[in-house]
Parts: sequence; structure tokens; C-alpha cells
Amino acid sequence: MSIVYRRTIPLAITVVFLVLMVCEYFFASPVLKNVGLEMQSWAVLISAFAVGLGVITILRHHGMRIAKRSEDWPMSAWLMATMVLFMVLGIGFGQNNPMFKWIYDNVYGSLSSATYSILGLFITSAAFRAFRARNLDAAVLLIAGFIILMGATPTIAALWEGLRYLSGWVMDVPTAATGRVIVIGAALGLITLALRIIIAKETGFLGGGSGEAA
Amino acid sequence: MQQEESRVVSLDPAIWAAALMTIGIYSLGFKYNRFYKFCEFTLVGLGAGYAAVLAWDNIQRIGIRNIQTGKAYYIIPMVLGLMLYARYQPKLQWLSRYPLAMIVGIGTGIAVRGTVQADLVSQILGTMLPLFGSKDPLTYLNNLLVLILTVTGLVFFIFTIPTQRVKGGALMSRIGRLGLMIGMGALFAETVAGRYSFLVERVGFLLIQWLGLR
Amino acid sequence: MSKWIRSNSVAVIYAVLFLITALPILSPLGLPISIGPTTRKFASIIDSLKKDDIVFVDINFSPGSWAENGPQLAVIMKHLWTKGVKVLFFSLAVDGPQMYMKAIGQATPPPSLKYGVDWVYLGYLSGAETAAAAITKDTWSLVKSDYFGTPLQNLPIMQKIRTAEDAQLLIVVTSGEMSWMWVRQWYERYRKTYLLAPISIMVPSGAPYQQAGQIAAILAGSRGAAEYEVLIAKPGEGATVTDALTMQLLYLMCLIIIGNVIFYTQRKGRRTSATGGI
Repeated sequence: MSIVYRRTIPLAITVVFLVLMVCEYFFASPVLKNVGLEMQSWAVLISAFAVGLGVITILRHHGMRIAKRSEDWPMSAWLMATMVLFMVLGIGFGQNNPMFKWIYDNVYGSLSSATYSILGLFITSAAFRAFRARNLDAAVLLIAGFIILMGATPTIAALWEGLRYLSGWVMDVPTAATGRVIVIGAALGLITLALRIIIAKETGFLGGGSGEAA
Repeated sequence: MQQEESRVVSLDPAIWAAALMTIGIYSLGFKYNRFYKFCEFTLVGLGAGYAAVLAWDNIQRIGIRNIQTGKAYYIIPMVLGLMLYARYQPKLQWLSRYPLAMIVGIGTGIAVRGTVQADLVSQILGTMLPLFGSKDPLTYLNNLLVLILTVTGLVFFIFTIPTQRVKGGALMSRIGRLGLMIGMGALFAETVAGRYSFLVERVGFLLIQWLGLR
Repeated sequence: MSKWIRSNSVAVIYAVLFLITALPILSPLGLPISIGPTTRKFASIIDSLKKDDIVFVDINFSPGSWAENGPQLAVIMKHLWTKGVKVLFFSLAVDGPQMYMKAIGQATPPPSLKYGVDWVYLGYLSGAETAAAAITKDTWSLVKSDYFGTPLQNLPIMQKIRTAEDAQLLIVVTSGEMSWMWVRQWYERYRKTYLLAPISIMVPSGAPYQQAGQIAAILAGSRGAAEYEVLIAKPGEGATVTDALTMQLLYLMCLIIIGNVIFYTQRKGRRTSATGGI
């Protein structure tokens, strides 16, 4: 009996909602449309609760580090303090609160932008140290990359207009073809996953309940 | 952040906060240090706090507001969302499977229903281009190349049968791999160009808005 | 000195990179910019819009990617203001409202255009693909008021907008994966034109959709924005980065060439010594 409510019913729920969403897309039924829209709202709402799991995990992990006085535990305390402060400001006083906006624009925004951009430094040093035309594959990668780089350099492209068309050709023909391979592969993978869920072969997403066979 | 008119170092605390955070992140490029660690932990803390604020916003907007306007059945997804937290109680972990099952079913259904048309059928149709019949030979060469690279790329990704042993399989796999190298080269080039744009923006902020050098 | 450089090569590389980024920012070089074919196509599609055509614009990025998406949004707004079209702005990203306010501050509409008549902003719509499906299927069912709290029935522009069938064009300015979702929810459902303005990193991923005709044109990051600004003669933030970007990319290409020359020289030296100089 326990396997019914621990495994069978949850899998049945997954299948029912998956099929419902697919049917809502393909059949022009007002009832299906309304039910589908409501279920999508429910999913967004339930997903919002899932964020709390992440917050709890962070609190537990860093709380443990503080309790055990692990290495750099003051940093963990700082992390928890910033997280709680930001939550209190945003939830208690709203996102238009001046202090929330100040922290968001000047601290969080700057940290995000800088993190985005620091990869440029690492790519530069990695390109110098590791980007070698050791074999045919690497040489092809290097040449294609160079053509696109030159096309992306505004001034080089202005000096030789043909370069624009060459880099455009590389993007429109071979890059589009290989991108297509990845898109088709991902689509086939997603369809396979959906079919596996429908026939109850894919159960890893259920998680929870130690000691039970998936 | 307003750009100051006189060429002096900014006295605005907001700009100083943003500048110090940016420098802290960039310091990683030279050596891993405590200032970088402080900035990293700040980013993680604020990011987690922000995610929680957004989640609460969704709960209010979708859950609480709908209940207040008469849609009492929104209590159900609220309860389902709270059931996610049952995973912290070993004997009740199985309860968390129900909301998870619903989210996975709805999410997979939404993802897969559009994928068949957009990512499979349309992409295959985009590969089936005319190979002869017009006056421009370059167009047909390009169409042929798209067809060859797409098919050989798909052959390269077949791992369930040994394509090396199939007649012509090794050659097709090799051509597909070279095509993928061109795509990876293009991806590298565009990634670099993108990251450099972010770097220019941050360096510009430091020089102009913070140090007032222009 | 050369020993110090060799042992601190990474720091030297970064320092030089910062220097060549900083110099053109402090003293613009005025290097020429050429306009690529996809930027021209992007602009020509917007140019082909007629008076009172309806355009949906999804502002779908966060402050972290303002460097690329900000100039794109501003120049697109500037071009749309000149076409006499009706624009429905909305955001599927939670930071969208702030990005809208910042962009409209840079691309101020001319006095002849009126909010609520010529354009409207609906604010952040939560739910990602759910919201996208809903806003294209029935806009009025998803939102009751605009971002500023004005009921939709009080906005003249909204009397002409109910579904995606009423629109001629969708423009998405984004830093994330929403781009491909809109192929499903917009192009495949309604067969209407879809223009994408993503960050540069996403351009190769968009190539198959562009080649298949699902995305009409892609505006590539800040350099695409710079080209667009030059094309429609409305300078903005995009054009200020091109000098520095040129220097950075030239530097990278030089580093790659130098690295490969060193590699082959050393390999040749190893082979020569292995064969005893023969």
C-alpha cells in the first residue's frame, strides 16, 4: 500500500498533468484552455515555494559552518546576514523601498556585471595559453573562431567589407547546421524524456524517501 | 548613478560601493584573496535573498491575491507548495513528491508540446533546401553544405550503435565533428565579444563615473 | 625582466588588457564601423512597418547584461518612435521594469507621442512561457492594468490590442533562454515576424532558427546596437564601446597568434633535438 501513495500516485499525477498540457496545446477546447492556464499558474505558485528550499539549505549549510567555527566562518555569517537583510527589506518594505533599490542597483547589480565580465579576462589568458592548432580539429576551430572574431571587430570589418560576408557565411551555413544538430538532439532528448515519464521509466525527479527503489 | 560634471573622483557612496565591488571581483584575476571572497559571499547572499523576494512576490501576486478575490481553490496549490517542506521530515518525505510530480508534469508538458514543431519539424524543413534548378550555384552549394553538415553532425551524436563499423560511418562522423568544430569556434568568438562588451562597460564606469577621468 | 614577465604572464596579460580597454575609453579613437547584413535586415524590417501597426516588445534582461541589451533596447525604441507604430512593452524578466525606465530615459519619446495612445508598458508578467502563451492568446485576461496602475480600458492603445493576431511584429531584447521559447509561442503559433536582440553569446545558438526563417533577424549584442545607431543616425551608448572592443579583439587575436608561434617554434625545436639536428 505504501508504494501506491509513495510512488504510483505521484507518477500518475505527473502523467496526467503532462498529457493535459499537451492536449491543451493541440485541442481548441475552451475548457482545456482554462484548465491549462490555471494549472500553469499553480505550477508557478508551487515553484515559488520551492525557492524556500534553497534558502533553507543555505541557512543550514552556513549555519553549521558558524556553529562549528569552521575556516572563514565570519564570511558565512556575512552571507547569511546579507541574505536575511535583503529578504527583510524586499518582503517587508517592498522592492521600491529606497534601501532595497540602493543595494540592488549599486551592490548586487555591480557584482553581477563584474562577474559577467571577469570571464573575459579568463578567456583571454586561456586563449593565449591553451588555444593551439595541434591537430585538424583544433585548426578548424581556430580558423572559424578567427573569422568570426575578425567579423566581430568593427574596424577590421570596415576595412574589408568581404570579411563581413565571410563571417556571415560561416554563421549562416556551417554554424547554423551544427546549431541545428544540437537543437534537434535536444528536442529528441526532451521527447524521449516525456515518453519515459509517461511510461513511468523516469522516476529520479521524485527524490525523497530514502531506501526506496526508484 | 549620475555622471558628475567635474573631473574629480566621485563622492557618491553609491558609486564607491559599486566601484569597490567591481574591483573586488576583478582582483580574482590576479590572485584569490579575501576581498574577492567577501564580494563573492556578498553576491551569493544577495542573490539568494533576491530569489526569495521574487518568490514571495509570486506567492502574493498569484496565491494570496487570487484567494482574496474569491478564487478560494488557490488554497490547494498553496498547501501543495508547503508540502514541499515535508522533505525535511524523514517520515513525511513522501508528501513532497506530490507537488514535485505536478511541477514536473506541467513543466515537461509545456516544454515538449512546442518542441516538436519548433525544434524538430521546422528545423528538419529548414535543412531540406533545394539542391538544383536555379541560376545561382553558390546558393545550392550552401544548401548542400547545410544538408551534409546537419546529417553528419547527427551521425556523430549517435552513440547507441557503433557508427565506426557501419560503411561510411567513420567518414560521416569525422565530417560531422569538423562541422561541430566550426560551430564551437563561432561560439567561442561570440562569447569573447560579449564578455569584452561587459568589461568595457565596467571599466568605463570605473574610469568615468568613479575616478572622473573624462 | 623577461624572467619576471614569464613567471607573471597572466598578470601581465590582464594588465595589458585593462590598459588597452581604458585608453580608447579615455580618449576615443574614432575608428570606422561597418554595418553588418543582419543589422541592416533588422533595421529594414522595422523600417517596413506602417503607421498604426502594432509591435510587441519583450524587455527580458537584468541589470547585469545592460552593457549589451541596454543599447539595443534604446536604439530600437528610438527607431520605433519614428515609425508611427503602436508599441506594447512588457517584461517576462522580473528586472524588466527597471530596464524599461532606464532605456526610456535614454530614448525619450518625441513630444508628439503620448503614453497610453502610442505606447504602453504592462510591467513584469510572471510565469515565463505561461505568461508568453497567455499574453499572445488573450492580453486582457493576463493583466488588468498597466505597470503604473491605469486600467486597460482607460488606455486607448489597448482598445486595438487583444491577441498576437492584432500585431505585426515581436521584438525580444534578452539575455537568456526565453528567445527559443518565443519561437514556439509566437512564430510557430501565429507565423508573425520575430526579431531577436540577444547578448552576443547567444548569436550562434540563434543561427539555426534564423536560417530556418523562424527568427527574421538577430541584432548581435552591443556591436549590433552600435551599428544600428550609426545606420539610423541616432548615437547612443553602443557606439562608445566599439573603439575599446576593437582594441580588445585585436589584442586577443595577437595573443592567439603569438601563442601558436611559440608552440610551433618549441615543437620544432624539440623535434630537431630529438633527431640529433638531422
